[in-house]
Amino acid sequence: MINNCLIGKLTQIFFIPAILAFLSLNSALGQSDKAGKGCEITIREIAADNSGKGTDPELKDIKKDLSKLAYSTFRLEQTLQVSLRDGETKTLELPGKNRLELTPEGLEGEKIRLRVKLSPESDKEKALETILRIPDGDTFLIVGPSYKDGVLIVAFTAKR
Amino acid sequence: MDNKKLALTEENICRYYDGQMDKKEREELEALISASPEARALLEKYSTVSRMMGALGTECIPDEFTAHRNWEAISSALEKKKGRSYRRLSYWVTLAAAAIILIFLYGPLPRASANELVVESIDCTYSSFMLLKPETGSGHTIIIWIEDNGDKNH
Repeated sequence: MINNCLIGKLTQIFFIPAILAFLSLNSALGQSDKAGKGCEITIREIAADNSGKGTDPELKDIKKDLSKLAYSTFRLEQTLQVSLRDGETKTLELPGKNRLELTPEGLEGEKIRLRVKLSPESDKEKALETILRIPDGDTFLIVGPSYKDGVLIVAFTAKR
Repeated sequence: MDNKKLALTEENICRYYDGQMDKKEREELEALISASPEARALLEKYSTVSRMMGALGTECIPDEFTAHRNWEAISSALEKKKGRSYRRLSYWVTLAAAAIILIFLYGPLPRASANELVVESIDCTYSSFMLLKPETGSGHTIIIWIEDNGDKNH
């Protein structure tokens, strides 16, 4: 009888904290496993204009997104891949003399927090600076710097 | 007046022993009993049986040890039942707590918003910009559309 009562009380005293501790540890380990590693960013430089040549087959994964833009030609100019540690900044020269700066800032929940700065080399007054929280493997686009007969589109895909 | 003589029967001896006779009957029967060895023996037998019954009645009262032992058995059964319900309650409380923690840490609500691309801040000094959020299969993507009126670069 005494043993049964004791077991019941011990179960209540230790079991709930044990579950809490296990889940917290598991969550913390999961986070710490990813935290501090940085991320890999794929940058696709796309030239868009209205010459009516359609979309490059290599852009089929974002064709639906590109179709929202008022251009008839989407041509992949170059694909770059950069691996960055959290807090590290990478500066890239984009077509049309545009400068791009990328700085991953760790994880926000399960999303990659990425700081992006785009500016033309010729005009230091102009700049776009944004911070995005990107689910692992997702893509976003920056459209608009003037390029050739149309605009430059930059597609960013971030992965842990 | 009743002049009927009292007989020395077993019934009358029994009535005498139980004190159910009046004084006259009692005196009359006592005279008869003193003259009869069989009647005296029968009376003695009643006394013996009566003493034995009395002793037996006293022995049936449980002593302290028996009472304590019986109470322990009852108490033990009650505690066992109480302990079972307590453990059952403890089990469900633990399960509910674990479910709440799991929902909180790994639940579907945070996960739904976890699949969305989020723009935390935009600072733009181009002519203007637009933020588009076209739907995709898994939610929304983000398109930041800058209006650039500057020189075209080739």
